[in-house]
Amino acid sequence: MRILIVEDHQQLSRQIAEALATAGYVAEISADGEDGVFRGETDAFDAIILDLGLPLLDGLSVLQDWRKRGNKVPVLILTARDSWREKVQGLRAGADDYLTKPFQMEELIARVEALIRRSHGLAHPVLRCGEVQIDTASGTVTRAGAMVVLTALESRLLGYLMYRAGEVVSKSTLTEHIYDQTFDRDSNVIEVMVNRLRKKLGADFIKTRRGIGYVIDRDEAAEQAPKSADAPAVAGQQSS
Amino acid sequence: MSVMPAQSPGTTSGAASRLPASLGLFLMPVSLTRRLLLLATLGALPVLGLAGALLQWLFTNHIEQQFDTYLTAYQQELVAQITINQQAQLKIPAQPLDPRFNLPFSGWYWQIIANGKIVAQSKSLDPAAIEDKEMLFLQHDSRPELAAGDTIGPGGVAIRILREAIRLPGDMPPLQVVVSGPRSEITRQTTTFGLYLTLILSALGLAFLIAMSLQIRVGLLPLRRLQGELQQIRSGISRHLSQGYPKEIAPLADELNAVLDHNSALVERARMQAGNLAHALKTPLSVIRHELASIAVRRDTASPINLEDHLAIMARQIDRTLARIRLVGPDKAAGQRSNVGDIVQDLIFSLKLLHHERSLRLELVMPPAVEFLGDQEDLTEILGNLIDNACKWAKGHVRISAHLHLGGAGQRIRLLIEDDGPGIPTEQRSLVLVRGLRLDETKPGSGLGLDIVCETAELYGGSLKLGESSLGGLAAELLLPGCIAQDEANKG
Repeated sequence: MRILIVEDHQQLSRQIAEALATAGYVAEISADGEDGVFRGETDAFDAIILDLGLPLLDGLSVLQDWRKRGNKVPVLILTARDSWREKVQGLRAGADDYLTKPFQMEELIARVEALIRRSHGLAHPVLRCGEVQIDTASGTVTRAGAMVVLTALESRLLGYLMYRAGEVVSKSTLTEHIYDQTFDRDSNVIEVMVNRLRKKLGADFIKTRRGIGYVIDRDEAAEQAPKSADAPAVAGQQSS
Repeated sequence: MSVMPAQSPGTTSGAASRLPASLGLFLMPVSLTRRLLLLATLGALPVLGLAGALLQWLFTNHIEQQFDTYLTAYQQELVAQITINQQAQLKIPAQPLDPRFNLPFSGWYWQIIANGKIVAQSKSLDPAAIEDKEMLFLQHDSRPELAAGDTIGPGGVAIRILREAIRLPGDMPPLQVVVSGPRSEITRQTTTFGLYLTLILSALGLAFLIAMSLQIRVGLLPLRRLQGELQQIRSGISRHLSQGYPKEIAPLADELNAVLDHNSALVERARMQAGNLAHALKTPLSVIRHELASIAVRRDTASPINLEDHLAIMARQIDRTLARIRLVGPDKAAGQRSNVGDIVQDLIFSLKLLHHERSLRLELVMPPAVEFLGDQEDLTEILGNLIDNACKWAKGHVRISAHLHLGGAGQRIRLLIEDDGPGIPTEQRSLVLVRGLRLDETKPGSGLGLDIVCETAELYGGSLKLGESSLGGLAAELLLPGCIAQDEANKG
C-alpha cells in the first residue's frame, strides 16, 4: 500500500512516514501544495494524508484539483484547523476523512487503514479469500483458522492482492506499491515472494496470468457477508 | 520595612489629590448643568446687586431733591410773609403754612433765627413740649448758606432740614430761615421702591437662571445623543457614531470613531494572532507527542512524569482558546439569520464520513425553514459538537429535531439532539457542562465540546439542558433565538 503524505512540517511527516512504514505501508512525502498536486496526479497511491496549511498551494485547492480531474484516491485531511465549518468545507471538497492535530498516531493509522478498506467497498477489517483470511487492522493472517507467519513485505503483497481479489495486478504495480522509491527494484524479488506465499497459503492461491500479472480469485461467499452488513447502514443513513 | 515604601507614595498621591479639592469642588461638580448654573449665578448676583444699589441710590437722591423742593416752597412762603416796617422791625406771621407745622414732634418745623436768637418758630416747636434745650435750634451745620441735610430733631425724629440765610437791607443782621420735614416722608417712598426693586430684580435673576438652564439643556442635547449612540455601540447595535454633530462636538465624535476603529482593529489583530499562535502550536505539539511515544517504545518504559497528560492539557487549552476566538456572538451577528436545516445537512454529511465505520443512522426531523437568529458558524460549532458527541456515544441511531418553542420571552427554537447510547446519569449531567471535564477519558475528543456549547448558547440568551431521550440515551436540548420563516411555513 502506498501512501502519500502532503505535509510541510518535516519532522511530523517523517514521524508519520515511520509510523506508516512500521504498520506495513510504503510512505512518500511531499512538502508543498504544487508538488502534492503533481505527485497525487501522476503516481498511484492507495491513500493520501493531506495537510491544509501548505506552502505554494493550499491543501483545499490541492484536493479540489484532484477531484476536478476525477482522481478518486481516498484523502484524509490532517490539519490544525478544527472548526466544524472547516471540517464541513474539507469534507464537502471531497475529502474522505478529517483528523485534527494534535492527534494520536494510532488513530491516524487506523483511519488510513479504514479509508483504504472503504475505498475497496469493504466494511470490515477482515478480508477473506477461500480459507485464507487477513485482518488488515492487525496484519495477522490465518489459513483455515491457523495462524500463518508472514514477513512484512509478504503481508503487504498479500493484502494488496486480496484487496483487489479478482483483479489482475501487474508485477510493476506490485513493486510500486510494496517497496518505497529507494528500494532496488528487481522484478525477480516479486516472483520469489509470490512463490514463498504459495508455499505458505497453498500452491494455487495466487494465480499467474502469463505476461500480465498475478490474481487471487474472488471469494463469492466472503463477498456476500460484508455487503449484507453494509446494506442497512447505507439505507439507514438516508436522512429524512 | 516592606510596607513603608508602599505606603509613602500612597500618602503623597493622597495629598496631591487633596490639594485642588477646594478648586475641584467648584470645577468638578457632579453635573455640568449644575456647574454652569453655579457659575451663572455667581456672575449674575453681584451684577444684579450692584444694579439694585445704584438704582436705589439714584431714586433716593431723586426723592430727596423732590423733598427739598417741597421744603423750599414752604421756606419761600415763609420768607414772603416776612415784612419789615419803617422802624426796621421784623414782622413775622404767627401761623402760616401747613397745619402739620403745628403738631409737636411731627418733624415739620420752621424757625427764623437772627443774631443767634430765635425770632419766630412753628407751633410744633413749642418750647413747652421740648425738654432738651439743645434741640431748640434746628441746625445741622454751621454754614450759613443755603443747605440741605439730615439730622435728628426734637423727640428723636429723623428730619431733613433746609436752611437759608436772608440778607436784610441796611445793617440789619441776616435772618436764618430754617424749614424741616420728617425724614420718614423720604424713607417711606424709598423703602417701597426698594421692595419693588428687589422683587423685580429677583424675578429677573430667576428668569435669567431658567433661561440659562434651558440653554444648557438644549446646548447639551448633542452630548446626550452621543451618549445614546455610544450605548448602542456598546450593545452592538451600531459600529460607529453618526455624522452631523455640532461643530464643537464633531471633532470629538470623529476622534471617538477613530478610537473605535483602532480598538476593533486591535481586537481583530489580537484574535488573529491568538488564532495563528494556537494553530501554529498544534503541529509541533503533534511532533512532540509522537516523539515521546516512540521514545517510550524504544526504552520500553513510559516517561516518569506523565508528559502525555500534560500535552493533552496543552492541546485542550489550545482548542478552548480557538473555540473562544472563533465565537462570533450575538453582538456581531446582529440581524443575521441562519438556516438550521442547511447547517444540519452539512454536518450530517460530514459526520457520516467521520463516523463511517459505525454505520450510524442519522435522522433529521425538521420543518424546512427553521432559522437561527445568529451567526451561522456559531450554530455550526454548537450543533457540530452536540451531534458529534451523540454519534460518538450512539449504538446506531441519532435523531436531530427542531420545533418552534412557544412561551417565554422572544422567539425561540428548540433543537433536540438524541442518541441511543448509554446516556449520562442525572447527577453527572451538570458536571459535563463544567469547563473541560470529560466523563470518559477513553472516548476520543478534547472534552470541551459541551461547556463551549453551553457558553455559546447562553451568550445568545439561550440554554443547553441534558436529559433522557426516548431513544434510550442522552437528549441534549438547546433553546436558541430563532423562528420558522413565515412564507415557507405557510407553504408547508
